[in-house]
Amino acid sequence: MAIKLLRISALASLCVAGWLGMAGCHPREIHADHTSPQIPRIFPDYTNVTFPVNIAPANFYIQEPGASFRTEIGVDDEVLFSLSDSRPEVVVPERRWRALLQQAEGKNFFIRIFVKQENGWTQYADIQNHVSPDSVDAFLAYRLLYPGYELWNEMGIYQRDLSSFRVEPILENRRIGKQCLNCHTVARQNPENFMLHVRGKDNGTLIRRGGKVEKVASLARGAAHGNTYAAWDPSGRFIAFSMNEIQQFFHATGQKPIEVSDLAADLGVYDTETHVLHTDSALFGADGMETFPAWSPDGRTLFYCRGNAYTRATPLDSLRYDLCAIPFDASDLRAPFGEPRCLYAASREGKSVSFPRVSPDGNWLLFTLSDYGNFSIWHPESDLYLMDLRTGQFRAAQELNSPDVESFHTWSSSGNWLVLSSKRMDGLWARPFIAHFDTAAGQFAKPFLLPQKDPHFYETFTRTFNLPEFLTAPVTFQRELLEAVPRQASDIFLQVQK
Amino acid sequence: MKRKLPFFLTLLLFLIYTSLYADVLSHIIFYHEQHHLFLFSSQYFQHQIETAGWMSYFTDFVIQFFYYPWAGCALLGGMLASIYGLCYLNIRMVTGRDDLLQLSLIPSLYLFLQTLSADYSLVPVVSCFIGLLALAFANFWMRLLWRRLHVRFPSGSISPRIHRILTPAVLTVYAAAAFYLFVHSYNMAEHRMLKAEQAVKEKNWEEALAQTSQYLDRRPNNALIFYFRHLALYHEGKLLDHLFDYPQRLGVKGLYFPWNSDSRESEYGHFLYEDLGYINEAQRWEFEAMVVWGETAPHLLNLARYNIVNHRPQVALKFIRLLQQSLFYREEADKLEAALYTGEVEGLQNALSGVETVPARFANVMNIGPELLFLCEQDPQNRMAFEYLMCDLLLSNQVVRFVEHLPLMERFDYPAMPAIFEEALLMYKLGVGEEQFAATGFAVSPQTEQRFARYYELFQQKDNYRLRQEFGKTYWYYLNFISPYGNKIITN
Repeated sequence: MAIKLLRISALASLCVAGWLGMAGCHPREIHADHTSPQIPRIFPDYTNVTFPVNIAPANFYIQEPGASFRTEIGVDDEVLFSLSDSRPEVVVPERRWRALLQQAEGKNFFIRIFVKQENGWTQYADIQNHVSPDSVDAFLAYRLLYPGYELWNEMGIYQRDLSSFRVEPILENRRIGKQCLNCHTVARQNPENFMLHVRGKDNGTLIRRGGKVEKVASLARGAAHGNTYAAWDPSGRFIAFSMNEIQQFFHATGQKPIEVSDLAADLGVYDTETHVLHTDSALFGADGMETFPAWSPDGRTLFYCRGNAYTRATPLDSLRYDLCAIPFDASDLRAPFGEPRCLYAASREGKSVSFPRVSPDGNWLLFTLSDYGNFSIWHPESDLYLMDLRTGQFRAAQELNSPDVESFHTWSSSGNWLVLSSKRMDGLWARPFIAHFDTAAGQFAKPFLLPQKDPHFYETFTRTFNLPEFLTAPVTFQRELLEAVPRQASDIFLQVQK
Repeated sequence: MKRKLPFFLTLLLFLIYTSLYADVLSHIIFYHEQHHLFLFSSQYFQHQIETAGWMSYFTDFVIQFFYYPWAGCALLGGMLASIYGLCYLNIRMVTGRDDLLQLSLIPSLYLFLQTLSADYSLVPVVSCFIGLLALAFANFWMRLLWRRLHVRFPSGSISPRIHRILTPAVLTVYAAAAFYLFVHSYNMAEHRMLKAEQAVKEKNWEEALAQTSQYLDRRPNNALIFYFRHLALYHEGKLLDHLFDYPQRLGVKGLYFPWNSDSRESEYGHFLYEDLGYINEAQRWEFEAMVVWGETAPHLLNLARYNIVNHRPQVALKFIRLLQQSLFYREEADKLEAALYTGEVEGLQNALSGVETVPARFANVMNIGPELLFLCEQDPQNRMAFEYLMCDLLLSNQVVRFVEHLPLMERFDYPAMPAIFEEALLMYKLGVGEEQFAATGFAVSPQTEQRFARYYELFQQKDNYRLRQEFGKTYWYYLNFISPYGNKIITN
């Protein structure tokens, strides 16, 4: 009995000593010896950004040197919680983060950082961030792969719950003999209408619609090139496909490693009910290259990029694409296409357009502009531009752009948020950044990097985030997709409108 | 002796395995070390567990110690020997009897023989070792239960005399079978290839030449061996004098790898481009190799190096940070990090640094010829590019273009015209006539003319044996009998 009491006393003493020790290292309140007018450097850069009210904790680490760190986070003048550590990482417990977002909804919150350096504690100027009451779509789908050249090994399409750090695979290629998976696309951010391509021995396109997964051929009978870039029409019945012949070229000099170029490209609209790929002489043929389809929210206009045809004599850095649109009438499938028109003749200015994307309200079109080509993810100069479709005026979306690549982007279902691929961190790996959009003013807030549990995650993660796309609900038909991969693909047929 | 036999056998196996891995199987240790990298990070742990599993994770943990070859030999030898010892121990604990037929040896010998191939994963070895170790602990914990069962089911005793006869007989059979299987499974060609690769990586050119010579003495056709040999010959200053020492039946494919999207070849392309100073191509090959073969130390180190000299420090930093999470490559990674913003790495030069990027120029990934010419134009003192260009033209029967580009030779201080150049010049002279040849400004020595007269005489006599004996290492012989592109000079 005496021994037992002794053990309990020893344990209690250890606990008290430990608590006191901890308290000694990390005081509950800090009286700063110095103040700095500068805000501290933190990574990721969560300063002056707008978060949605349903985002996961924005963990970061403090880049200022120091022996101890204290972070106070609060709203107005009230500190809601604080974190102290000898390490610079600030990992916010999910429960506290959620409470913070709720309390700060529609307002700013501050991050107040104290760093203990040789001459005492320094308090930096408060970091201010905003919490928008507009919630973002609950999930983000993306493909993870090496930003490599031609060979591949592991890749997969995943979905991330944006309110937490939970990630689950939609389909990984290790489950299907390491074949290539690409171009996952949904209609209006709703995964009920979902598609992706499988390249390899089970070549084909998996289309989920009406609760069933169908596998169709990726090459329409009568077409010269396989279906590539896709866009679901808002009704979920049609998928616009570009049919591309794509080749990779490798820069001999400089820092740009690779050019991915069309050698041929046509456009068509695939009817999932009849298995017919409708196209038009304006979109199909050797006269030009049409690619990157995007629908207007009413499904009556198809936007796309058009460049001059490639010949063996064409220097790759002279291939440029204009922004075009063509009417589409789903009620008359014998002649659904109208007259095409050019919205922005970028090639005349020595520029090239890629990835047009129309906002859900139909008022705005965001596109990528680079010096040439259309695979802008490999072009450091590529930037995002915003066009007001009501006036046809456009401007560089400087609030989104960086000195490095800004390329692929998609709107959220509400149009209040945008996710964009940017290589601004290192120039090689695309990372998803999310930005709030003021639909009335046509202004974006400063984009923030998708939060990760480990603030150092992006520093060593060597896969690139490809085609980030919001989902309003999670994909729940992973097994159906997997089972559909080895199936025989149904034929699809090309119908050209003269 | 009976009781000590398992200990003695375990020790003996350990010594045999370890010495074999240190000598004739040293390439196995090297290969595994180069193809695995264990990182002390939660991200790596999570990825490995999700994609490859626990045993693969443990195997990578073990393989990291192969960084020191002696440690690798001892570890692998120790595990395989222990598999025998643990098997014996488990049988003894469970049955309460000796392993009379020495069946415990079978798993150890089987796994050892499997490891003779470099492509054999070590996961089964590590899994077996861990599994048997766990089983031994479990059996030890249940030893009272086993003893009770032994009492209930007593074993029949075997006379010591039979034991004395049977044990050596059984061991002799195992030893003979293992020796036979070892000799028949051992892949000397693989050994030579991997040792040559190791020598190239270590820039031990003499060793690379020795390994490739020994390989080619027995097997004449292997693109990788020729590729390594040419690199070694160049660095030893012997490429132009010894290009045709062995019949170049692969033509230019022994000089470089055209890009065929071949995952195996992707590991090797960067050596040549790195030495040429063609950093973008070196980076491309190395990145492709990393995608296929994983984030292992050689790929990460090279990618960090290439991106430093190509002034992409943030890209290099990513690879460096991964290496900093390893046990043995941390120091090298720290050195590279220190050089991150200098744009310079010891032993590495970017021959195309500062070359205009507008208009864009794209590499010809199928034919190295235009790339070598481009290097010669942009980096006039690039001797390696010049020698490879000349060899590429000669090996592809393009004698006319060879003569066109021969004036580039004046940039370098060759003491004399290499014999194969004179031989090619003579071929050209015979084709175009005296007048046109004189316009080139080159001359063919009388000795070469005399040698050709002798060659032609034997050729006319169709004395192939003497032709090969006397002229097998000449360009004439290559052009007439070896070239995979036929025996005609390509003029366009």
